[in-house]
Amino acid sequence: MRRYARVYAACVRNCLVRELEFRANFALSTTANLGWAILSMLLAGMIFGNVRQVAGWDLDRMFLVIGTYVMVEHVTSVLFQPNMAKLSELVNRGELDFVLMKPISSQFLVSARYVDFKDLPGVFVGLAYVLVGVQRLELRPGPIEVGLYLLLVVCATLAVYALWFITVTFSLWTGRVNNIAYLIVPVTDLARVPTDVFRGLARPLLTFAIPVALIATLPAKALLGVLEPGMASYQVGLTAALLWTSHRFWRYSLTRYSSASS
Amino acid sequence: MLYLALWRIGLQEALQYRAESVIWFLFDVLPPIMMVFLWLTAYEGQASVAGYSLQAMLQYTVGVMVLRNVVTAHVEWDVSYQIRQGTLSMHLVRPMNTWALWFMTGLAARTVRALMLLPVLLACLVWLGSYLETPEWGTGIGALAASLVLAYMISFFTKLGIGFLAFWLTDITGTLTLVEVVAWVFGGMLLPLELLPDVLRPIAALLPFQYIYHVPMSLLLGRLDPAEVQTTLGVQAAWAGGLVLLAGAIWQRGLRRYEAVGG
Repeated sequence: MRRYARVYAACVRNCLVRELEFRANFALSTTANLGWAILSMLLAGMIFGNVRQVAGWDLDRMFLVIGTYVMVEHVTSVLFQPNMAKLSELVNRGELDFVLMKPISSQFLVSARYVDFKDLPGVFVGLAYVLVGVQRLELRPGPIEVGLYLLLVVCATLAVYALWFITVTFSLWTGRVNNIAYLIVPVTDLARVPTDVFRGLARPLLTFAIPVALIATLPAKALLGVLEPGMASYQVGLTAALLWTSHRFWRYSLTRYSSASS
Repeated sequence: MLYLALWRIGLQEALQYRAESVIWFLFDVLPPIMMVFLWLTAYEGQASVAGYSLQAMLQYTVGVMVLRNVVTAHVEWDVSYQIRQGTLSMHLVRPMNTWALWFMTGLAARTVRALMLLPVLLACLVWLGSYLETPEWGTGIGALAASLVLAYMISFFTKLGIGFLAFWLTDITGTLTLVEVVAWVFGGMLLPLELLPDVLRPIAALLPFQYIYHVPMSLLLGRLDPAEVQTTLGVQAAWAGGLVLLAGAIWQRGLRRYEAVGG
């Protein structure tokens, strides 16, 4: 465990140094990514400024949903986006071999080698939205609500990672699909609206199978104090199951992997 | 004949990368579907939102899904990649208009998208049936067709100009992201502009993006009176013309720079 922490610290330092080398590009990309964080709230404002409520959600409550969505989206981008984007490249160039030779978990190294600081400011924008929501609703969340909220946000981050990793692991099977790292993005974007608005099969699918409700709607409910304890437990289980699946699938896919070079 | 051949080559290229196409397709299809769900629930509590009935709102949402797929150009990636990699030189020495090449491959990509969209659209018709039944072909199909062609021109030449920025920038992603954000909000790419707060409405009028999405949709829904239709089409044409000139100016300056780099 100590060894992994040391390796990770070295990776983070290395990424920071590289980032500071191209400062103009860094500044432009950071601004652009902030744009998305602002867009999410603007779109919600356009809808909920004209609609009193949708399935019990009004503009004030949407600050909690959008804030949490922006936070989780940016945290997963900071920690995982560059790694997920690079995996199919590693496979196609045969460079995955170098990863496999290193005396460290290969899933750890391909998932955590790079950190993208450009999305870091967005995390604070999301947090600010949540705080505005808490203020406007005059919420006084107790330690249980806050604890449950943080637990679900951590679960959401891990669940999104696991799902993301499962989708990019397919590049060991399919060969070249350049944008496979983007497959998950339009799906997790569905977390921008409360999952309660979905009907038919879509709602159970996005709540119990694909962790979309977990990204924003369920944490927001936890903060509002209206989340059933059973649902929270289920989501922790779902996260664990997704993480386990991602690891098994990676190990299994590696047995089928026959490098690009040899 | 040459241009038809270019279109066919573009079709073959687009069909070669099917898995990629499906992933990009999701980006343009899932957000409107999400909005259909949201509107169906939202209208349970009120009959009208910013002057839109449920029927009009669903028609706007499904209509904009079509525009995102069929009328939105994505030529900027090809163009910037060819500039960065220097493969542009190969096209420049050929006895053919380079812009025409991009225009035809762009059209081919839209053709493939239209085919992909067809089953989704049919599913929407089955799902939402009565809501989508009677588009009030407000001002006739001619004006709508003209508006759609102009919308594609506006989108194409905006994206072409952005692609040309690769003459100066190593990475256009940041610029493109900013433009996309602005188009989402001020173009009506997901929500009708009537939902914008009054303070922000004038900004939309100063930008070309509403002429790609919001204006054709307003025509389809019959929200413009006949006198307005003429002037709106005129403004749309002016934007298309202006953007051609702008892209041309960037292209000329960029080429000078490109040759200088290539030695």
